[in-house]
Order: sequence, then C-alpha cells, then structure tokens
Amino acid sequence: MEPGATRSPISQLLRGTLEFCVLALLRDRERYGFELVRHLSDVDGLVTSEGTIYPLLSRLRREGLVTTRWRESDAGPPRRYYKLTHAGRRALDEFATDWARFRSAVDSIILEGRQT
Amino acid sequence: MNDQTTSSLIEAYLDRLHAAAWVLQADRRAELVEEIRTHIDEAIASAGSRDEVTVRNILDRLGPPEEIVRAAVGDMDAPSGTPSQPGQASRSVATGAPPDAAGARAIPAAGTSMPGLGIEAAAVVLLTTGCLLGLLGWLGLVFAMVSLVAGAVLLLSSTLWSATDKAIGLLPPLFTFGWIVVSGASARPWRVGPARWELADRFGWAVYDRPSWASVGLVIFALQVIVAFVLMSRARRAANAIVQSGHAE
Repeated sequence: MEPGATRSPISQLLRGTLEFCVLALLRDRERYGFELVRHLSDVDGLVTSEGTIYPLLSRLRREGLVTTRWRESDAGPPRRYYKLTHAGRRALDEFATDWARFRSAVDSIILEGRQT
Repeated sequence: MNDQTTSSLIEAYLDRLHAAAWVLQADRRAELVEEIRTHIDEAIASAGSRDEVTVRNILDRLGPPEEIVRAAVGDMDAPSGTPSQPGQASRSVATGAPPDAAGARAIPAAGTSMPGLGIEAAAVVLLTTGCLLGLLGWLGLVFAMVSLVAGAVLLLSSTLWSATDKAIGLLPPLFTFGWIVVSGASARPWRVGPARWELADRFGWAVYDRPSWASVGLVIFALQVIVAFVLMSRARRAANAIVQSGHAE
C-alpha cells in the first residue's frame, strides 16, 4: 500500500463517508463485525484495507452511534453484533439528506464544467 | 502449506499489529488485536480452508498492520467534520497519526516498539550521562561533550516535547557546561590522563579545596535527574494525548 493512496482526494472523502455506510448497513438489522467488513469490502472502491474498518466500528461505539452485544454463533466463538442506536439513526438520516444535496451540487458543477 | 506455516503467518501478522499499536491505550490495543484475530478466524471459517494461499489472501485483504493502526489513530485524531488543530497535527506525526505526508514515517516498522518515546528516552539518558561525566570530570571532557551534544540534538528533534519542555531540558546541560568552564578555569587546565586518576584528582580538588563547587555540581545533577523524570512523563503524556483527544472531541 503506497502512502500516497491514503491521501488521495477520494480517500479523504471516504474518511468521512465510510462510517455512514456502516450505519446504513445497520439500518434494518444488526450485523457482526466480519459480516459488516466483508459487505463493505465487496463493494468495489470503498475499502482497500479491511482491517481499517475495526477502528471505525470502535469509534462509532464510543460515540454512541451503535451498541454492541455478544451472541453465540453456530460455528466458532461468540460474535460481537453491532446495532444502530437512536443517535446513530438520526446521524444517518441527517447524512443521507446532506449527502444527496452534496452529490447533486458537485455533480452540477462537474458536469457543467465538462459541457463548456 | 501445513498448519504450522499458516499459524506462524497469522501470529507474525498479529505481532506486527501489536508492535505498531503501541501508541494506543493498552485496552484499545488489546481490543484491536483481538478483533483482527477474530476476523482472521471468521475469514478462515468462511473460506472453508486453512491453506497458505487462503491465509495470505486474508491477511492481504486486511491490509498492512501499520495502516490499521493509522486508521485507529486517525479516527481518534480527526473525527469526521472536526478539523484537526495545527498543534495536534504536528504532535500526531511523531506518534503515528497521520492524515498528512509526514505521517508515513510515524507508524513504527515491524518489530520495533515505541520508537517515538525511544528518541526521548535516548535524549534523556545521553543528557544525564553527559551531566554526570562533565560534573565528575570523568573520562575527560570529550565524552561528556559528545554525550551532551548528542542528547541536545535528540531533545530538539523530538516532536513530542513542546518548546518549553525543550528549554527546560536544555537548562541542566547548560548549567553543567557553565560549571565546567567556570570551575575548571578557576582551578587548573583539564588534563588527559587515566580516568581513575583524573576522577580522584577532580574529586579531591572539588571536595577539599573548593567545597562550594562540589555542592553546586551536586545541585546541577539533582536538577538534571528531576528534569529527566519530568520530561519523560511529559513525553508519555503527549503520546497518550493523541489517544485522549479522540474521546474529548
């Protein structure tokens, strides 16, 4: 992993966006860490190093946007499940609104620039 | 391709992670390593195979341990939407939080632990040794000067200490230097000779002829010892401050 990769404009954007992708994945049901990580990682271009998601999950927990609990798994050791809190849901809804506005704003500028 | 190879691959990876994560608080460090270990177990279980290729792919997908730690520190340093402060940023470079270019250096390479505090510890040891040698007149002045200068260079190069810390750190060595010049000039020129002889000579002169110089020297050394402890605890606190700042914001 070249150092430059972590400083590209896209990775700067991802820094602030990824946590809301995590929250969005938890919108309907709780999920365990590995499940979340693989889900995000399977989407092209979102995550380059899966391991970096765990510190993010830890922060979301500390900020009270998610709660966790341990559950037995059918195979192997117990799993830590993540669940959205009220605060997490509110943050997600807020971001979804802001993101839509942001995306169309950037799109309008970028596409406008392309036409001239 | 046997079980032992893959186990040692995994352990080596986790060791690297543990070493790189020195900058985190102990409980967060342990938690991070445990989470990554669980991830690896889950990934192996989901792959349904434990051969070397599978394990290498799992570790590759996880990314370099240093990058995971960087994410952990970065998360604490600059939560989304909160611009990081300039002072905070320059400190985080030393200890491993790196949203910027210099950050690449910050995370320790595999196998080394606490390089950030390593520089600080070396500076303090060199300065203390230099003061002791200089005040005793032991081994001649050359060693004392080399030790003091090297210590001062390290002291000034540290990014964990503030300017005030550095100024405080330089005081005892400067006192030592002044003490050597004044006491030496008022007595006799420095001699090169057998270390033991010169030590006895210097002690004899200092203790019996000019007791005041000996006590001043003692005070300077006591000051250096106190400063050494203060500086180390401040360096440690600065390293922890990066961790704390995430909770505060």
